[in-house]
Amino acid sequence: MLKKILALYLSVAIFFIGFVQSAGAAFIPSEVTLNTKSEDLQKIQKFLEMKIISQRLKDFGYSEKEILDRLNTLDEQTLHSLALKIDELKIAGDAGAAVILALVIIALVVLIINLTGHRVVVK
Amino acid sequence: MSLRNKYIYCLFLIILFLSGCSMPKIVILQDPLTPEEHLQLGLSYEKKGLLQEAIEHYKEASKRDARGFLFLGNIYLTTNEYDKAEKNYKKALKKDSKLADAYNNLAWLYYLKGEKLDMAEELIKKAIQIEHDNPEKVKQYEDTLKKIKERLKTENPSFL
Repeated sequence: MLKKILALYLSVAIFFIGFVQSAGAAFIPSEVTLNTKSEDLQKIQKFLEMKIISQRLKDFGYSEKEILDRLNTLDEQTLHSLALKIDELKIAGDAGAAVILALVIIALVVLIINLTGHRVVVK
Repeated sequence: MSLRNKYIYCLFLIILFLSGCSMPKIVILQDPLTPEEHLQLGLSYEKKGLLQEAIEHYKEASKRDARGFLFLGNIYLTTNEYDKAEKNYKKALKKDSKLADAYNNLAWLYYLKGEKLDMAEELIKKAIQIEHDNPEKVKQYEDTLKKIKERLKTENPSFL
């Protein structure tokens, strides 16, 4: 009797395991294409976020030592938030300055043109 | 004060103002990550449900790696945005005609939509042809092919 139950259980289990694998295999998920295990992704993420912040600080003229000092003070959550926002913050800061600079340059050009005896008219 | 002197006075004031300001610096931003790294980081974000952040990284990767488009297609497929998924799978194949997984997933998309099944069959055969020396991949593609054939049979009983 026990053997019969065991045989029945095994045949049902094998049927369902086979069915589930078959149903999932038709779509190839990104992690399979990339050949990366899910458990490695957390370590990879931390490393890459550090790389992003480090490069940005380097772009803005920080020395290697200053970069290391700043990175060492960041916990995992702050690192993650900073990596997500770093480009947005910098672009927002630059946009205002760029507009002021553009206006000043236009004013200078108009002044120089006027000084040389020409007129600038906005129609 | 003549008009000319007024202009010179204004110019002097502007130059004085500018010399007192810190001028904005032009900084050329380097992309810190390789396409492979953009894909890895995007995948990590995708697994955590940060889909918008994942999409940004896949888009960045797609500039130099066709898998960026494939992964974008995969995200849109899982969110049931089939048109966007199709568009991205096609872009992936245009960029890299040997990207077998993109053939498979585009074929699977047609299977899910229940349309262009003949084309889906052709796509999956192409994937099998590309990966013919990779038994593990071929098995997965054959599974997709089997399902497409079953659907074709039910929709067109005279098939085969």
